[in-house]
Amino acid sequence: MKTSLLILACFGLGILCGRYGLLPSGLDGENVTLVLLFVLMSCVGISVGSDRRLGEILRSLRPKILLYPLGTTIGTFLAAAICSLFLAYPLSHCLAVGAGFAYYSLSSILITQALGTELGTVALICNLAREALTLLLVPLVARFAPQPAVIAMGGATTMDSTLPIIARTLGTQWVFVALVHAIVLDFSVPFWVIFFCSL
Amino acid sequence: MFALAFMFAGMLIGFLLRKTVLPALVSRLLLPIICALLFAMGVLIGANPMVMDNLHTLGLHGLILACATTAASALCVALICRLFPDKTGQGAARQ
Repeated sequence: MKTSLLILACFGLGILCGRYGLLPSGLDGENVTLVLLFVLMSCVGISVGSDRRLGEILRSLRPKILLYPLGTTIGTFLAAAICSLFLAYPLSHCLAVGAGFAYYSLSSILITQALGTELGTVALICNLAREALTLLLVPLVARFAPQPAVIAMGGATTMDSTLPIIARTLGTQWVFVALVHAIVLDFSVPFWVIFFCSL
Repeated sequence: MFALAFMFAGMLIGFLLRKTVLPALVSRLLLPIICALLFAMGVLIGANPMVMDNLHTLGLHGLILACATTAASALCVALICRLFPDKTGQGAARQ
């Protein structure tokens, strides 16, 4: 809980700084995020590579882990379909937004091009929010949910931006499950988004 | 995808330097870097007028979809874990 609150505070402070331009111009670009992400990924890699149980973890991986991205896809589509009953968007549009699986950059661009800026903005906010929700809630949800369910929250981001918090919360032995989960979803994003946009 | 290259490079470095003080140092650095990344993400959102000006309408729709899809994904995978329990009882990776 402490970790979630700390992360939330940093996120809120960042929004305030961005909104009111409180940062020097060199520090507010996308490049800073990208550099931090690369540093973070290197750190996660070092944690995994130095784990003495690395060989044992790799041997323990089973084909069953492919069920997890499938479960994430089914869950996401079911929720998007239910949301379309309450929101003013057709079913295919809600499914297209959900099919971003938190991969906001690609999905919002694809949706903006195919269906306009309004739905593109919804897709951007939805997928950004899914990533932020995952980052904030992983430490909390991990207390009562099985580890693969915690990974499922992150969608396609569990191999980059949400991987560090997953590794820190669940342990490095879950990094490979998170990687396989994200790689499968990552490749499916353009397929699903383009498919639902064409309906 | 480019981020993966950094992780694999990190794995190699971590494996080669696993007997040094580096892994312990890196595990202490994880949380501060996560906080910095979230701060930077917040700055990007706060500085984006399109997102900030439409937060009350489009944002609400996006947020509803985000909450629903995140929760349903976790529930669906939790159900899979329940339906196909691992023989070790600890999922696909051993604790």
